[in-house]
Amino acid sequence: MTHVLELSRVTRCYEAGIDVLVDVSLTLDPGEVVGLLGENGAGKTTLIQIALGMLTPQAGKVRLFGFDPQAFPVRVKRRLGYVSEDQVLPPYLTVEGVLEMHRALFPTWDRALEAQLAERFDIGGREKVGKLSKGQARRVAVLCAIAHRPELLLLDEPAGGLDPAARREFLETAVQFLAAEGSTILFSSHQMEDVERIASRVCLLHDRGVLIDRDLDELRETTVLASLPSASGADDLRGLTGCLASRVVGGELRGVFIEGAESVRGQIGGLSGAQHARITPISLEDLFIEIAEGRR
Amino acid sequence: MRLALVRREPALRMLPLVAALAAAYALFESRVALSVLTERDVNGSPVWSSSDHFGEIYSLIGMPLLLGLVVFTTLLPIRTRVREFERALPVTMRELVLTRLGLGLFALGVPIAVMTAVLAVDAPSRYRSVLLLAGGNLLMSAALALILIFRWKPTVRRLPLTDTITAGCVGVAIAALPAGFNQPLLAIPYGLLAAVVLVDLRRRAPLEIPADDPPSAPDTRRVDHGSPAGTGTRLGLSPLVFVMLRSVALRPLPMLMLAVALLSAFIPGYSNPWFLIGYPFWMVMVSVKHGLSPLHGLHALPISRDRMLPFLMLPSLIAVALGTGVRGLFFPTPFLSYDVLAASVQLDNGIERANGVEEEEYRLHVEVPPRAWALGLDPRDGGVTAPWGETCEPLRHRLFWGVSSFVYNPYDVAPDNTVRFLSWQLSRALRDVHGLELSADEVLARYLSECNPGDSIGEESWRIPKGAPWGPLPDRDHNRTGGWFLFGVLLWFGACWFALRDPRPLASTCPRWRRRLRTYGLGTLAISALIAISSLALSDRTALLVLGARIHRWLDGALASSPIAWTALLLGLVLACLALLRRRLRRIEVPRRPKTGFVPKEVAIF
Repeated sequence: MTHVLELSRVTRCYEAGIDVLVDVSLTLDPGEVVGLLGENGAGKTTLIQIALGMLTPQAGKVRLFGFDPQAFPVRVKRRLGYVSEDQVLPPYLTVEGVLEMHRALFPTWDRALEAQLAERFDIGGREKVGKLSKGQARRVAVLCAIAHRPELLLLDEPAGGLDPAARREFLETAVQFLAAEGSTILFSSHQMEDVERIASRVCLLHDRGVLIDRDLDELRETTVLASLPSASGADDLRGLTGCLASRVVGGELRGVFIEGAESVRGQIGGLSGAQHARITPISLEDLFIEIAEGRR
Repeated sequence: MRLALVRREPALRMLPLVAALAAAYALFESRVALSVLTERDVNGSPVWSSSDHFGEIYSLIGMPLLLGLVVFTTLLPIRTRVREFERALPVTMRELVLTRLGLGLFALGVPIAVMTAVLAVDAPSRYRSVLLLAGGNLLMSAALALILIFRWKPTVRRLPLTDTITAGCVGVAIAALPAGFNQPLLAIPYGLLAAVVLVDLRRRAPLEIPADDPPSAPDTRRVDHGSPAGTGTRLGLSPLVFVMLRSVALRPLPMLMLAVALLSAFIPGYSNPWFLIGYPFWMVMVSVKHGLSPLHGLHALPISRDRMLPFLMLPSLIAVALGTGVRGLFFPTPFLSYDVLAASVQLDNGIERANGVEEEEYRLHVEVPPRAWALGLDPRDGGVTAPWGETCEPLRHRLFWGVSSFVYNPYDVAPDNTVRFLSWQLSRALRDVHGLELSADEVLARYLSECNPGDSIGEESWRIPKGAPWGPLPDRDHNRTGGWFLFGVLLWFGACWFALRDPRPLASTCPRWRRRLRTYGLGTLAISALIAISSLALSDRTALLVLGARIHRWLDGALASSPIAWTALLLGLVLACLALLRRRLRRIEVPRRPKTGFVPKEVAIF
């Protein structure tokens, strides 16, 4: 089966010796909704732009719908939609002008869907894009990204700067219209609740590579936070199987594991203070914070 | 003016480079231009009186002005008075306006001052005052122009581009610049006027930073919701074409470049090859680079690079072609009219030149276009013998160091030749160069009637009168226009090729310090090479001129001055260049859009 997106051992740096991504592999299959997580500078935007063909990896292979996006840019871009936080539509065009441009560029443009979305978003007409509010401009961008019913939607922090209501409307619209049709969505976000609500799979970038790549449900089931008195050092936990990160906070040793509660309980039994250990499920946001802090 | 605000300006970091370029340019360019000034001064006419000097001084001092202008309008758009983050700072609008104005004046003033100083030190003492005055005039003209631009609406955060008054101010600025060259002491009224306007500007600028630009009239048009009927643009262009034109093609810099190229073509007496090559090259390169940034915003759309290519490349090509074409069409190159040919036959009385040449150079010459010179391979070649046995040994100019080949003027005369020999050589030159059949006796009767044919030409101090009524040349030389177009296309291609180099592979393999070392090393080498070539050309530029002329002659023969042949050649060349550039554009990684990019108000030049 041809993957929708396939990154194989991709390496990219902007400066010699300062790698952003090293040997990153990731595949997306039809219908998947993947949340791309990572700290600022982890390489989320770089990865999405490599997938889009905007950036060239220094090593590795990129395939979009089975094609090299740099060799066949028009062919692959007709089948995808892209929205990013800093995407700026031509401010001197009217909304109708922007839509007309997209109609001409995408053969699969769905006029009925466009009208439906325009009505829902209350956008359109002769208003210039430059005079729209940030939320309105983002709605226009979403409309442009999904009205041709793309097979892959790439969203790079698409809801950044939007209020919660607008953010929810934005993401639900994208997912409602596309995920139901079997489209694939890759989106990066710092909003963990968005990821938990929408994504079926999570990919966490850390330290120039992919640290976690799992189904969200599986991740919820297997990821736990182990807390015990800090008699042991943080390194004691790091050596255990499945430990993603560990740190000492307020006299307590905390470690995040991805191996399930039973496995963790068995592993930490030999450590001092294990009798006082607590093993609890962890939310995606806490997981992110523990990894960010614990792996510094 | 707040020093803290000045210091943080990124544009200031470029200033030392601009000043260094101005100084380097002055060092090698001054020798060429001053030698021309000196040669023109042979007649004894004051420098100010001749419009020919305008072009030379323009090219001498105008270069750093334009350098500074481009650098600062690129990095520091003078239309923008207040940036977003500056709105939150505890400063007044007046301070911001004056700070930006001060930066602009600094940017324009430093290169001009450096250039003028280097020229004044390098030039013979009798030209020092001329150059200093010209530099002062230019400085004050530029200052006045900039202050006028800043004076208009100092109460807005950003000057509207379409404002007619803005256009008027820019027009005044452009008009003021050339006016400042050929009028002595114009700096004084200009400076006084600038001071008055500056005081008025300070008075008019408010203390409060405006919350926003004045709102435009409310849009009362009905808002529809994606009606099926396409609206396009007022001009009837498709939105995509409009976006490409607006964002990529019609950038302000290519327009400025066009203006400069055309301006260069219209300058009387303009003959500076470095300014003609170096400056347009740089402008094309910068304009293509600027055109690349908006492509980043369009990258997610299914638009092929091939489709973007014409929008990115053709405006600069059109600009260069217009500039060089206008020059080729309307301005004859030297030695292409009988008047010039006649006037060039003169006895040099040994007046001091800016550049030392051998004494033998100061003898009488029959000057002909370089394409009429001959190439000698054997040192014994080159002797000219008249039918009656009189001979002449022309000066031999070696092509390059260490090479025995040389070029010589087969129509040359020596001081011990007779007037009869001179008329014979003139007659041959006119026939071979211009196809004009005029016998030696006729030449003798028309121009040398007061001389005894048997006398030696070296015994008299005389010259053939200027403005000899030989009539205009028949317009048989399409090569002149075609040659300029050819030059423009090659220049454009070189600049585009350089602009489209992909920095990514270099960045991935090379640390920053090595890249900087490489860049600055190459820059130093390039400037050194320019200086070396300039020095070489000055020590004996005949060989280089003749070498170029031989290419010209080859083209002349191959294309037979046919417009169709020239058009075919140029079209073929442009298509080949576009094909090469297309491959390059496909490969490169479009540079990251700057945070302020794509929104024209942040990157506009005015």
